[in-house]
Amino acid sequence: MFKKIYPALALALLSIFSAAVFAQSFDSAEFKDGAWVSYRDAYRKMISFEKYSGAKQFLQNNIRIAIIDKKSSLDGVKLALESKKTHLNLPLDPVGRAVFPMLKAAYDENAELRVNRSDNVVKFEYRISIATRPDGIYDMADLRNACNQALHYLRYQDFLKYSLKQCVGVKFVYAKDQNDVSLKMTNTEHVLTTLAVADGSAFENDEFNAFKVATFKFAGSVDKGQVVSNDVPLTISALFD
Amino acid sequence: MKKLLVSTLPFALIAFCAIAQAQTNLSDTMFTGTLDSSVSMPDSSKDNYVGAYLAAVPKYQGSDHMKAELVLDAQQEWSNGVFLSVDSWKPYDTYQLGMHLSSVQNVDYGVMLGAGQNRAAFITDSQGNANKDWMPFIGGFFKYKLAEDIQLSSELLYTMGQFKGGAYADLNAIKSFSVADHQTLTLSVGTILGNRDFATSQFGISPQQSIDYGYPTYTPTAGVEDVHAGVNWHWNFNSAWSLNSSIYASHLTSNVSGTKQVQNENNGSLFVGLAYRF
Repeated sequence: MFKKIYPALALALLSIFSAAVFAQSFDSAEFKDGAWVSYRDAYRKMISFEKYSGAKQFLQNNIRIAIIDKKSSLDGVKLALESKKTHLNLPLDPVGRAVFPMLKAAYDENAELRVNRSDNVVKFEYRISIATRPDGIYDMADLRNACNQALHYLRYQDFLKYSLKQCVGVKFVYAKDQNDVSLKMTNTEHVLTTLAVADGSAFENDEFNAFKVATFKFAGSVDKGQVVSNDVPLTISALFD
Repeated sequence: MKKLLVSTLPFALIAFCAIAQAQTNLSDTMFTGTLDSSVSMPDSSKDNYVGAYLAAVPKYQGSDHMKAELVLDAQQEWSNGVFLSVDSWKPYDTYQLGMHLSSVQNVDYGVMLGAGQNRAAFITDSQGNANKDWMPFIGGFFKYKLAEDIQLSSELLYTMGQFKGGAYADLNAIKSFSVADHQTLTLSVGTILGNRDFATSQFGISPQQSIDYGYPTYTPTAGVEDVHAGVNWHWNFNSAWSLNSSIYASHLTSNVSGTKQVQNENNGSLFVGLAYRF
């Protein structure tokens, strides 16, 4: 008896489903055709850092909007958390990162994170970076420690991709229009060496050279000395090989 | 009370519809488009999926006849790790109530209990009546995320029921590919291992059944029961609605295929339908 009503039931369900798919649209026109991710999916990725029990005091974890269209830039790019009841703007820093809001209401409402640029221009990323210091003075041992913390966390997330990687250095990232960037290292004899500054990307596997970067490579196994930045960088990212 | 009614209504509906069960062992983890552990959510939140699929499936395992039918999938997960899942197409573990015991990103294990409806479709088709009862099970699962997009998954269940029940393991390797924005292809390859009691409960013909159906008696062998592979294409329209399309194929091995029930060792199925997450 139930077999007979199946086709009718299927048709009814499908028409309800398809009507609902098209009915569910967002009011904010600016974000309407933009890139988006499910807040629940993003939450699951972000919470893993909170739950991670390994050392992480040098690290920060962010959701990031990365530009993938080289003709475009981060100027005017906005990120918002949207659901039926909520519209929350999430400010982006100059490398495209935002502080991820851990909100039960947004999870329960099955919210979306939306950008006012299309999928062809931007993509969502989850990025681990090394915290910057206001005084600009970094112990070499701390930088190596920070890089290793980042590597261990990434191994925990994706063993296959990171199990054979090693820390080789860290990258200091500055704004492209910043002309007086100076990054120096002092070794054991207190001799100052200036590190080269060049155009580059903010993170690993990021082809977009929208920044000025200076790379500090670890030498040998002994870290004695400091790396001194005359300005607070936008971010510091770990380099692996 | 009203809220409770609304949240359990899909399950009641699906429990009702699932009585006419399909017979294919496609895993529902492929339908969510993510391999992340579901244990991580805010306190006292929950995550729900309901899916309705038009499916072409074998009438029963080993049948050479296909049937078209509406199959349903519902999953409900709570922040404390408890989950409830109904997959009307699954023969062994149709109804599941379980709990995730670990909350670590790449390791997900837990316990579960539930019931499947065994060989009811075969027995009905053979004009038999005996032993169409439910087959309850207890067991556990262990999943390891080897990479962001690769998961190794195992399920070990001990079934209780007619012909002494038995134990089986379902082992799968799952790899997902992002093919376009919000579109994921998920491939799964695996095998079902059964002990002799389990193989007998699924494929054996006892002397009594032999009299009932007129089939020769048959005692299967323990070991690899089937090898299977599936592909699911998952397309998210927004955070709530998604389209799933799946192909699943399985091959019953000679450990079990000598029975009269198995007219065709190679079984396939197709699924197309929409899922709603809320």
